[in-house]
Amino acid sequence: MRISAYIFLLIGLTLISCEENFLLEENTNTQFNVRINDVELPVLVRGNTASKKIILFVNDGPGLPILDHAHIDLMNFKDIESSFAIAYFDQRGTGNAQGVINKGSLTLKQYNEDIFDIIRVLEAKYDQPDIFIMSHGFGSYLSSFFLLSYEDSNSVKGWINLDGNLLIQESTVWEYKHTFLVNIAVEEIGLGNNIAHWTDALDWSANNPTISKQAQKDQWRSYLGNPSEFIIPSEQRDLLTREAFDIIFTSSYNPFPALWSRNYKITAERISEEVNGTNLIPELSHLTLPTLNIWGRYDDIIPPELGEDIYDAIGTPSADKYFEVLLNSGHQPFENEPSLVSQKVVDFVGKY
Amino acid sequence: MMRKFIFVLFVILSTSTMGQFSIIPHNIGISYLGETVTHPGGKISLMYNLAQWNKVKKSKRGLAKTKRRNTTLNLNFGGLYHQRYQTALFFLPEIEFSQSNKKGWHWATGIGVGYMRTIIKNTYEVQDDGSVEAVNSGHNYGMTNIYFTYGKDLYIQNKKRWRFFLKPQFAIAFPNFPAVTGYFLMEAGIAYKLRQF
Repeated sequence: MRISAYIFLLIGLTLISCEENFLLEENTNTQFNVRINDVELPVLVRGNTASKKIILFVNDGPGLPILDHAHIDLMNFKDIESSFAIAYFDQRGTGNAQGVINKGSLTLKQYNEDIFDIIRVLEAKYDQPDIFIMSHGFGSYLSSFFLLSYEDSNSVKGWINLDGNLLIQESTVWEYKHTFLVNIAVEEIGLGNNIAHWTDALDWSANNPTISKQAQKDQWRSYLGNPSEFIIPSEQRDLLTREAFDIIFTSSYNPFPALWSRNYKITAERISEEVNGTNLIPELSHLTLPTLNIWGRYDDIIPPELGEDIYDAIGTPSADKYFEVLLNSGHQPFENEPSLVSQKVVDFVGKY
Repeated sequence: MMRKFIFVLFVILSTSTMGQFSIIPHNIGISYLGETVTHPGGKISLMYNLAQWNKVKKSKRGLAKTKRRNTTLNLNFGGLYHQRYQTALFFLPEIEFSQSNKKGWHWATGIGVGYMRTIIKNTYEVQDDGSVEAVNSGHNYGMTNIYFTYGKDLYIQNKKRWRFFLKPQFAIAFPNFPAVTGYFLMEAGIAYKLRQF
């Protein structure tokens, strides 16, 4: 008797797994899945859906999950969520995306379709809200590829590009990094900081106009230091033990596929293979939607000099595109200057 | 893939039909099975002893110490519920080696190979006409696990039919997205002896 009761309890648990609500409210927290070609991508919508504006966040990568970070607000987006809703999703092949797939479907074309379908579901479930895309790092490659590929992406009201990586050509990126070092050295000498060090950096840069060998890259790094070591601000902080326990034991997240499997490597390799050597910047003239570009002055991965060229290349009329350099930030401005990032995003989304 | 899997299951199950097989298990167990401890699930186990023997060792004082050893086939039926992630139902046969001392404390280790079916609630799909529909979603996976058990068998010392155990385990669902998906499971259960070996 006891056993049969237990069986019924199990079946009951299976069947009554909570239904999610899609409400227009100021503090929503809803998670659902979007099935695309037999793969389920988990989407977490959190914040103010009553605003009828949802920001779809496309995270850095390739191959990195985001729902675990979103659960503890590691990106410090709470202030944005109080004004608008943010939709986070684990990209195909990452985190808690589920399904049995052919690895061959890890393609940009499929990622485009994924973003498209997620937007369609957000529109259907939240009474046709305004959709914005906010992306960071490699997420901006995916976003801009999506915006360029889909004519129907007109439904996206604006794009927020946080230190986006649209140029996957190593030699060209190093040209920008060379300029980045020169500009920082000039600035620091002007400020009277470590003059001998930065003068040496300038001399070295003049003697090494092209950076291609590992020894040169190491020397470049030695002038700038690693994040949080010298002049480059810290990158995203590590999880606190309490936060890690929160994700593992109380969240909807299964951390194993996100952290302890080969998924990351497989996905990263597949996507990297496809994008290596490509440059989306010349295509950006086709974009005409409002765009906010936010860059950390000390972004040593995608230097702001490159960010400025991205901004210039975007076809949007200058009244509707913005380039903001945050003077105390590196590659992750939402970590270094969260209030400023939130304020700029809220102002931008509020305007459009 | 599925045919191979069914064949392996058949072979495992066939081993238990050799000799004096009875459909009635030696023990029946019921457990709480928590994915990462806190995400609840449950399991019913039918435990068939395949072999039992005593291992006698001499202590430093020259006294004989007897350990009882067993190999067991466990047929497990269970489910896991991880809110917002997935509900999973599984059938997981395990082969186990265990050892008990005279007080009934025992440890065991084993591996299993079985089948898992997931159910993914709150799933939506964009249809060909552009509309969005709720859809039933879930996947079939092969499942394997490896575990360690520690517990006490009250029959050995007190002739009571109950046994309790704690069984941490690591399970994998395969093939998954894009390789495998892992689960840490903590099982706490009791078993009732239905018949002697």
